[in-house]
Amino acid sequence: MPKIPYQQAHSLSRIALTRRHRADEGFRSVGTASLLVVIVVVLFGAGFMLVARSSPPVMQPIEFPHFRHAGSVLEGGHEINCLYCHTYARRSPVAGIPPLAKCMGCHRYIATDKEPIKRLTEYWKNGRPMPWRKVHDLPDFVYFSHERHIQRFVFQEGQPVQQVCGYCHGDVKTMKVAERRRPLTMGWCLRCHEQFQDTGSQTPAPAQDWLIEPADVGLAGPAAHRGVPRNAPSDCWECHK
Amino acid sequence: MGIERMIKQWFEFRRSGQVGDEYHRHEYRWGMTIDLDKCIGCNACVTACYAENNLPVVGKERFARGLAMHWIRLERYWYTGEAGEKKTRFSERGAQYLPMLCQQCEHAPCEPVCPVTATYHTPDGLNAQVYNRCIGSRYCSNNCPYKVRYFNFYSYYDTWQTPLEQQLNPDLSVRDKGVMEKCTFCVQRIRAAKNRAKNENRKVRDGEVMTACQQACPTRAIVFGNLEDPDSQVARSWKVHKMAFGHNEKKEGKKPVRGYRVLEELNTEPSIQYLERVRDTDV
Repeated sequence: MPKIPYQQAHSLSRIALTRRHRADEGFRSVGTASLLVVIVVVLFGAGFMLVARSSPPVMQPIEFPHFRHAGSVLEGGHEINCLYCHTYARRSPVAGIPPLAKCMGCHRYIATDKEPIKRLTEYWKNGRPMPWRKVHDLPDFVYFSHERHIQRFVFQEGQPVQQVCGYCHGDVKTMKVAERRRPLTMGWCLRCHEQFQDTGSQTPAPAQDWLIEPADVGLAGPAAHRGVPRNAPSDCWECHK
Repeated sequence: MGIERMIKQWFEFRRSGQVGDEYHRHEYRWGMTIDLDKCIGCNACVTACYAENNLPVVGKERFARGLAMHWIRLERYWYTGEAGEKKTRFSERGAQYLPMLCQQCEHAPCEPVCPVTATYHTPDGLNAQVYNRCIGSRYCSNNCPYKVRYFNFYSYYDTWQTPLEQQLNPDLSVRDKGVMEKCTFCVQRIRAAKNRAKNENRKVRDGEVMTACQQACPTRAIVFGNLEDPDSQVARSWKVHKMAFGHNEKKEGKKPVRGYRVLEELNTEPSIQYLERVRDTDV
């Protein structure tokens, strides 16, 4: 009868330990044991998905330094508003990547001697767009509107732009290369939507299994919302398309 | 969940009378009126639906086998003479048309039978279908008295070959094999209008949301809107024709108005009112 390496499972997955460790002191059959191995592996996978918050790094054509553009002046940044480049975020479901012309608006004059800027200029001269790669990618069956979130938090409530973007994108202004810091899963979205729900609309039962603790969103507790109604949708069809 | 939910909801839905109280508090209740007197059977609504909702064209052969994926279909009815009359093959006055789409029933028979809650009722009175949750059991379609649910027996995403994929609507997914789908009352347009309204701190105005079929209808036979708003066009038309949820023609007798709902006696409480066609010979 094979032994289950409990300690190993323990170190691998925190979820697997408590229930399994106590309940299964001895195994009656190989079948049970192998079933448990499967369960442990599955739970480990699930646990990993829940715990994993940031993405593997996405290789970009140029290492775009967000900290240099959006970071604070004291740390060598320029404090450019997020919405200056990602201008579609306030009026469209997708935030968008600025056209190369917007980059060149500054970089025709600024830092033209740097290697990445030379490559940028090359793309510009060849009349080709930068092949940026997507960092925050949602499944195709999910509808998410940047416009609605920006309109609500920035324009109706008057919160600072970087703070609002940071709820889902993390502290981009300190990033050397943009990476996904938040899980962006349904359970994560809904945890926040639950906090912004005063109309009594409840999270649908099928979604409740997926709820996870929100990352440090900093929205907990009913903060003052300038009278903007807290009616974040929680219905399946508000996002699933 | 599972069988308990199924049984509980089943009895709930089979009761006649007032429709789910919890939904009455909501600010929207989408409904429709289709005037069959205005319908000329041009099929523009069907075409519009294909364009709006990424519906695949299945081809002649599969169409003949009943595998078409049209969310709205135009049914033709031919008057071929009453009993005792001389039978005619085709009615002299032409066909009668009836656009048949998902009736967005308030007591939808498809909902309680779904084993995974992929189909459910939204607070604003839509009968929703969540594609990524659907496992393709097809119970819902088998339980639908209107036969307006369509199952993807095949993958069609490669039918939009370059550059045709550019015509796809990005606001809703392209369904793959093994998933049930149906009319959504153009929920992507409703969603967009709601977002717009919320940005401007107001409610969705009457006429702001148009379904694709309504927009394409050359005779404006289709009226769509919010039934909770008493001033909306659709609510007025329901009122004029003495139509309301809980109405049952079988029990209450036919009223001298044109409005009716298809298979009302099954207690499905459809959200679509049809207005009977009036022939000059009837008057």
